[in-house]
Amino acid sequence: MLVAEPDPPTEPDPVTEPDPVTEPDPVAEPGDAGIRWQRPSPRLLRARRIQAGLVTAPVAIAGGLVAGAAGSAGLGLGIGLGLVVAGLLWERFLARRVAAWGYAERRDDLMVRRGVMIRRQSVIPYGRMQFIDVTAGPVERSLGLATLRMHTAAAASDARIPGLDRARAAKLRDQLASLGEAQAAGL
Amino acid sequence: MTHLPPGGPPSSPRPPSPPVPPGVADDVAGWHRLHPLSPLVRAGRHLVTIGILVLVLLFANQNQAGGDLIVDLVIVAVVLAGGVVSWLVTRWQVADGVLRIDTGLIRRESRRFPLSQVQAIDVVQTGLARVLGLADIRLRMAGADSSGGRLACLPLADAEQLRERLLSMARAPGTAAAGKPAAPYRVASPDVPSGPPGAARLPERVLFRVDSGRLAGAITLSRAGAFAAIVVAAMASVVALAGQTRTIAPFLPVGLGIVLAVWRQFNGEYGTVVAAAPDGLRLRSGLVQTTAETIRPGRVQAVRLVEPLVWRAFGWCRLEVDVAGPRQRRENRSESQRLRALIPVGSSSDHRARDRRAAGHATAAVAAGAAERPLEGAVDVPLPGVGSRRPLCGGLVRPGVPEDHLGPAGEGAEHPLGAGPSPAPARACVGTARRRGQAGEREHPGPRRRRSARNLRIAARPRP
Repeated sequence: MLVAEPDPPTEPDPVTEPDPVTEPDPVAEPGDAGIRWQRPSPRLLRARRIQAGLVTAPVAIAGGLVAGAAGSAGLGLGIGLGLVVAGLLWERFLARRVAAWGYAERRDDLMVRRGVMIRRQSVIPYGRMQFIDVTAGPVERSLGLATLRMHTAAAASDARIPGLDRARAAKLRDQLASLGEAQAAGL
Repeated sequence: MTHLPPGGPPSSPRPPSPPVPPGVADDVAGWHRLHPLSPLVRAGRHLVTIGILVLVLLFANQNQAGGDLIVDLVIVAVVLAGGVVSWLVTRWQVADGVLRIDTGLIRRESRRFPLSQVQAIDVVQTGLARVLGLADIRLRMAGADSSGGRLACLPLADAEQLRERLLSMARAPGTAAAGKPAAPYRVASPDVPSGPPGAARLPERVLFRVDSGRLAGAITLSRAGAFAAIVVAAMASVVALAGQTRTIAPFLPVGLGIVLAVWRQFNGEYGTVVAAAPDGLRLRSGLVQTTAETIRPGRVQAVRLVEPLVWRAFGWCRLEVDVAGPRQRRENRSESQRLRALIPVGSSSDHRARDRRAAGHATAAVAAGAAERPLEGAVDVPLPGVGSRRPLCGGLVRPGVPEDHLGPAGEGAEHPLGAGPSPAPARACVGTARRRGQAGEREHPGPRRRRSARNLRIAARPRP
């Protein structure tokens, strides 16, 4: 069992941790029936929460201190608490967004799905892939996760799969690289 | 555990790490490190900048330079330490037609570059790297937002060998799997059909060289050069009139920056040689920092001939080659993404015909690269209009022109390629040069006329 980093004081601690893998698909479209979507690791949510906490805590403290110094102590406390509440709300959005990520490996292309309010599905033919990288920031690495990213020649196709288990990311990366090599379409 | 790269072999988290074995390019399948001196080279630019800054500070005001010097030394030390750490955590490998680079300490990154998608490979030597005999290898990929792979630094011989290896590996799987063979540039000697892996030097045919005097003139007459000249002249006259150097001290950094920009352009384009080789179009240039670029056949997206107003009086023009890749800022352009080369087109009537032919050769060769066509048919296309006062409305190669119109007869003695086998049917002719407004096909826009500079853009036609 991996031990998460010590949470900052204002970390919006999860009340319930829904398991996005066992949950029914929240953004399934009627046409998606034949596609077997795969999900990022459930630890992605924890990574996102840690990142949200790491942002919220300093912002709340700094905002509170500045407001407290400029106005009264009560104002500072109110603004600090307000920012913490905003962080908690952000956490609710994060949970839904993490649940919406999905990817599917098909014969000729990779589909990546993301977004809650604005749903986005990208289909990237393997042959159009220019190069691939796998990055793992400090938080992700402490949880054994990595982000896989495919670069295509088009600026808009942001084919990114966050929160993959590290071994899974490495496997997928090599698989995609060899598929891209085999189906290379040139440019 | 946390430092284990995402793709690392689970049994051996660290490479055996021999400090760059002698024949790196012979055995590319294992994991390699960069050269141990690379942190020094990578910090070199900062060192030079800081050195100049210190000199300027010493020159401007002698009294408080000591504290700045300490700050600068700290910065240099931090940069060097960062470089050493980055060297320690970086390793690379070539396997299965994929270049792998693992790097990063806090943010681990593991990148895969399928060699069949490489657009161009550059071997770049900064001044310090040349002193130490090192070189960078840069892989130019078409990724829209990230510039691709970089191995900095390797010993020069290894870098050149590795480039040849990568290019040959890039060619091999691409032609086998994609099913459509990319026609390589054919060169004069037919006894070397294609470079065997590990060949020391592939034969190449020089298309043109840039005369350095003409380059200096052209830069002086360009916008940046004229601006720099005016600034320098203004400063000199102020000094001469006021009689003391102190008055211009505040403007010195600005002036220095402008002069440096011009110098960078001269440095980057000095001695440009464009050559065709079986593995691609080669561009070599540079005075202090040398760059040797190899653009793979069929990876040129567009060719542009630009004739600024002042240059037109001398019959000079500039050839720009577009390669797919991230859009770069203007100041970095000459360094990597947008290759530009100056084509000399002579002004005297004696030389005009020859130089125009040289320009035609280069343009047509580059354009043939864009269309994945062999070179023979395209080398001797004259360029109507270039170097003369006539507008560029003739057309370089019109679509549908039969092959025998492309290569004038009788050039074989001068150009050994003319006697070669007849080229393959033109799959993609490379552009119409009509006036704007008449251009029917959007795929290959005709000349674009601006007020001061004349532009001819030739885009590769989409393949059928």
